[in-house]
Amino acid sequence: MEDKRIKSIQELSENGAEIQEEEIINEESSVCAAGTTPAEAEITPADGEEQKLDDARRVKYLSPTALVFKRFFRNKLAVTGIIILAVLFAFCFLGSAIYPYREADVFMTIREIEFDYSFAKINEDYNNVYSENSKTGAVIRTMTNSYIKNDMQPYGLTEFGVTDPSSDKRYVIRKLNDNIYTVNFEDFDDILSYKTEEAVGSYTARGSRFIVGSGVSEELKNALTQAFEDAGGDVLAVSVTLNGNVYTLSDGKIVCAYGEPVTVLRTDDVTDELFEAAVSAAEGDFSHGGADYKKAVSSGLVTVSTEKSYVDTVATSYVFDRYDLNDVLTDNFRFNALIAIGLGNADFVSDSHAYGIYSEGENTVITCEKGGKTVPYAEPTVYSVRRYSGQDTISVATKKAMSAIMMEMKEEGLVSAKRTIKMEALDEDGNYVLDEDGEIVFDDEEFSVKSENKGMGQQFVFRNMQEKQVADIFAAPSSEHVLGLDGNAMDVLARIMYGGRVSLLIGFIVVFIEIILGTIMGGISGYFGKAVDNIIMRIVDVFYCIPTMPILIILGAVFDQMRLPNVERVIWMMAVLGFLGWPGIARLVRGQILSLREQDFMIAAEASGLTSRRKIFRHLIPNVIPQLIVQATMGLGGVIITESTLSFLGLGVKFPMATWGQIINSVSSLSEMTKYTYIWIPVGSLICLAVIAFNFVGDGLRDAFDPKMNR
Amino acid sequence: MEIENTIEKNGVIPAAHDEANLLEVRDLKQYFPIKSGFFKRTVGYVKAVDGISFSIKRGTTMGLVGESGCGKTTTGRTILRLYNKTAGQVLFGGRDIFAMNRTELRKFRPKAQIVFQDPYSSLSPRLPVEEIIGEAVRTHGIVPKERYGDYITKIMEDCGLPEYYKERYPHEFSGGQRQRICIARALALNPEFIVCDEPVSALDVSIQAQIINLFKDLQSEYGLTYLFISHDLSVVEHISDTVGVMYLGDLVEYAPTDKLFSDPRHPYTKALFSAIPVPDPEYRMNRIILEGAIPSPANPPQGCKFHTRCSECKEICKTVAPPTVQLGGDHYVKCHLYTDEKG
Repeated sequence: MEDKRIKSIQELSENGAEIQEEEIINEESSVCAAGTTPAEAEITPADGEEQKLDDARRVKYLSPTALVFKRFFRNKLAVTGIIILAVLFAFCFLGSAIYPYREADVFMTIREIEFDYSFAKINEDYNNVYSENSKTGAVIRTMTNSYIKNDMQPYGLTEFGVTDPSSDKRYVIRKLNDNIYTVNFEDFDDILSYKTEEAVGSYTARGSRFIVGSGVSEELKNALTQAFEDAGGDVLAVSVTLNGNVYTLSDGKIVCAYGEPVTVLRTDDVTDELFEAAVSAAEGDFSHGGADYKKAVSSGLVTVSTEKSYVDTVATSYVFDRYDLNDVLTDNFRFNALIAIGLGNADFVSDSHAYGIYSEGENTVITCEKGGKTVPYAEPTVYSVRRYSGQDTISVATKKAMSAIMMEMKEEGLVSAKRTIKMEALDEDGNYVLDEDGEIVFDDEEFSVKSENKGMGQQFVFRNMQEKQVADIFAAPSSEHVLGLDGNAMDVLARIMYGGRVSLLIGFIVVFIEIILGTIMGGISGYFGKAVDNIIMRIVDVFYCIPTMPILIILGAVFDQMRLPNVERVIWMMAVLGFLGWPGIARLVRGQILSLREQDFMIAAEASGLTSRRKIFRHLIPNVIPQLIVQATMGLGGVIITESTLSFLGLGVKFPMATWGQIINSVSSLSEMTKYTYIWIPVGSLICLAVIAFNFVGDGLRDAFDPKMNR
Repeated sequence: MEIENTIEKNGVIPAAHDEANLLEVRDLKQYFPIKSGFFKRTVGYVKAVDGISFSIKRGTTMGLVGESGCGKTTTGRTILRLYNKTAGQVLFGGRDIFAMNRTELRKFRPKAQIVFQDPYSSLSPRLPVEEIIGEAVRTHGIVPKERYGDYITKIMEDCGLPEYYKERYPHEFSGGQRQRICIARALALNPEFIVCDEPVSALDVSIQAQIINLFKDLQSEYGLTYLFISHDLSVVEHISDTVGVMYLGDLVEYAPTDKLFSDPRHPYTKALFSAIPVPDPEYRMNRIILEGAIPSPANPPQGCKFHTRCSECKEICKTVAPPTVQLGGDHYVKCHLYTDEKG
C-alpha cells in the first residue's frame, strides 16, 4: 500500500504537481476532521486541471454501507467470527458433500464374542412318530407322553388301554422297551355275515279279508291266502312252507325263514369249521381254534367279527442323530426303525430301502448301503444335542463328546465347566476341511458349559468364541472414523457435518421469519401509532408472556404423538420458533420508527409531499436495518442454542436425522458422557464456536453501525 | 364566523385578501392536548400558538423572534400544515391551506418549504446528497427527466455545493455544508415560500454570515418569501423586512424592522432589545431585567399574559387581555399601555 502510494506520488511529481510527500503519507494515518472519515486518497489527476492538495475531490468518500464494511473488517474479533462461520459453513455444506459417509450409515464390525453354540439334554419325554395313515385321535396323540410317564411307568405296566372319549375307540399302549412304546389301535373287522330270515313282502288282514302286497310270487300269494282261510283269520297261526323256506306272517310283514343260512360276506380267513362254529354259536363272543370271535344278530342278519390290533403310533424318547448331515430322516423311516429296534429285529425295510441294526452295549446304530458299502446311517439316542438355534447340524462325534461332558457334569454335580472338544474344522462355506489324505481335520475348540434349568428340564448350554458381525457402537476414533462412532454405530464426523446443516440453517430461517414478522408488526405499530400501536404492543406483551420452553416441549410431545416425519418436524419447529420470537424485533423496530418519525428529516419529507410508501421504505426502514441486522446476527446464536436444547431433550429433530443437539443427546447418560467424550466434546465445541462467532459478528456489526465510532 | 369577528375586533388585518400578500395568517391557534392517566384522557391544552395574525408580502422576509418555548417553531410548522390547526385560517396565495384536499395539498407542498435548525437530524443519514435533494423533485416532476441531473447540479451550485458532492452522504459534511444541503433540498422544489426555522442557530458565526447571505442571494435571485424564525435579534434585523415578537403564544408586537428596532413599544420587546450585545467594551448597557420565569403555556396568566413579569403592569392588565393596537404605519402592539392612543 505504502509503496503504491509513493509510486503514484512520484508519478504526480513528474506531472509537475507541487506535492509535499510527507503530508500525503501522513494523511493515511491521520484521523480526518469532524464530519469526514479517514479517507483513502484517490489521487487521480483531472484532465489537465491541477488539483490542490486540499481539493475535496482528492478524497474518495464511502457510502454508509461501505463505511460499515470498512469499520467491520477493522474489528479483529468480528473478522475472527466471520472466518469461523465461513469455516463452519464450508465444513457442514462442502464437507458433507466430500465426506464418504452419510449421516445415517451404520458401520458393522466382526467381533469374537462368546456366544451360545449348542445345548445338550437327556430326552425324557416321549414324542410320537406316526405311521403313514395314522388314525390316532388328537386326544390320544397329546396324552401319550402323560399316559406313559404317569400311568404306566410308576406301576411298571407294559400294557395300558385307553378309550378316546371323542370317538369311543380303544387304544392300547404297549411297551417295547424303556424308550419305545407303541400305541395300538384296536379295531373290529367283519369277517363273516349271513342271513337266517328276512321280510319278503307285506299283507293286510281285516276280518275275513286278506290281501298280499305286490312283489310276492303268485304261488306264495295263493298259498298264504289259503293258509289264512285255513287258520280262520288268525294271522299268527299262518305258516306256509315253500321251496324249503318257511313263511309266516307277523305285524303286516311276510317273514321268510331260510332253511339254510344265506351268506352275505365271507372273507378268505373263514373256514368251513369256523362257519359252522359261528352258526352253532350263541349270540356274543365265542372261540374257535384258539381265536376269539364275536357274533351279533340283528333282525335275521348275523355278523361275525374278529378283533384286530395294529400299531398306529410309536412314542419314543429317542432322537435320531444322522451320520451324514445331508440325509433327511423321514417319519416313515423313524417309525419303522423304532418298531424294529423295539422288537429287537436286526434289519428292516422302509420306503423300499433296507437298513440294518447293530447294537453294541447301549449304542445302537442303523446302517444302510451306500456306494456298495455298509455305512452307519443314523443312531437313536436319548441325548439330544442341537445347535442353540434348534438346528441339527452337529456331527455325531461332537454330539457324543458333548453328551459325555453332560453326563460327566451331571454325575459330578457341576453347574459350569470349561472343556475342550475336538471338532471338525470348517471352511468359510461351512464344509469340512480335509487334509492331504482326504481325512477330516480336527481342531480343538474350547467350550464353557453351563447348566440351565428354564422350566423345560435341565439342559447344558455350550458356549464358545464365535465371530459375529455386530454394529460397531461407540468405536473409538480411528483413521477410518476420525471422531469415532456413536451409540448407533454411525460416523460422528458425518453426523456433525449433516447436523450442522440443519442447525445452522434453522437459525437463519427462524431469524428470517422473526425479522419479517417483527418488522411488519413493529413498522405498522410505530408508523401509524395510536390505537393500532396500542393493540399491537399489547399483542407483543402477550407473546412475551408465553413461556417459550414449555410451549416447545408440549409441541415436541404433540409432534411425537402425530408421528410427523422429520422434515415436517423441522419446518414446524422453525415456524414456531419464528412465531414466538418476533415480539422482540417488533419492539425494537417500533421504538426506532417512533423516534425516527419525529426526526426533522421525516418532517422535511412530509413538507416535501412524499408519499407514505416512500417515507416508509426510503427513509424509515433503511434507518432501522442496522439494528435489525445486529439483532438478527445475535439471534442466530440464540436459535442454535434453542434448537440444540430441544434436540438434546429429545423434542426437536428425531433420530436418525442429525442436528448438533441430537448428537449430544446420543450420549445423554452420565456414564456414556464420561466414557465417550470424543462424541460430545467436538460437537459441543462447534455449538459454542458457532454461537460465539455469531455474537462476535453481531458485536462487530453493532460497533460498525454505530455512527459515533469513527475508527 | 367567530374568527372573522375576532379579526374585526382586533382590527389588525383586514378580512379582505390583499393580492400583495403571499401569506396571511388569521387568528391562528394551535393547542396541543395534554393526556394523562390510563385511558389517556385529555386533561388540558398547551396553548403553543394562541390566536396570532400577520401577513407576509411576496418577496419579503418576516422575522419572528421570541424566547424559547414561545411558539415560534409551532407557528412555522402550522402554517405549512405540518400540524393540524386548532382554529384560525392560513391563506397561502389567497387559499386556505387547511381547506385543501389531498390533490390540492400535494400541489401546495412544493411551494412552501422549511429549513430546520438542526442540520444533523434534518438529513436522512442513509441517502446520498443527490437523492436527498432530488427525491421530491422527481416525485413532483418539477423538471423533465432528461434535465434532472443538470437541474440538481445547478441548485447545488446556487447553494455553494460542488457537483461532486452528489454521491456523498450527510455524515461526510460539516454543519454549514449540511445546512446548504437543507437549503438546496428546499430550493429544488422551486418554492415561493420558505420557513427558515432558526437555520443558523446551530452554526458558528462565520458560517452564519455565509448562510444568511446565501438566503439573501437566493431571495433576490428566485424572488422568495421567507418566514425567518430566530431568537437572534441581530440576525433578524439583518435579514427581515418586518418583524414579529412572540411571547407565550401571542404576537405581542409586529412592525417593519427599522421601526421596531428604533422604537420598540411593548415592554417585552423593550426588555428583549435591551439584551442585544453591543460590540463596545466602554458601552454601559441599560438592560431591563425581567423578573421570574416564563409561565407555562398550558396555564397562561389571566389578562395580559406578560403581566406577571411586566414592569409597567396595571390593574387592568391582570384581568383583561389587551387588544391589538395599530400605532400608525404598520406598527401593531398588543398592550394596554397604548389602548388609549388608538382611541
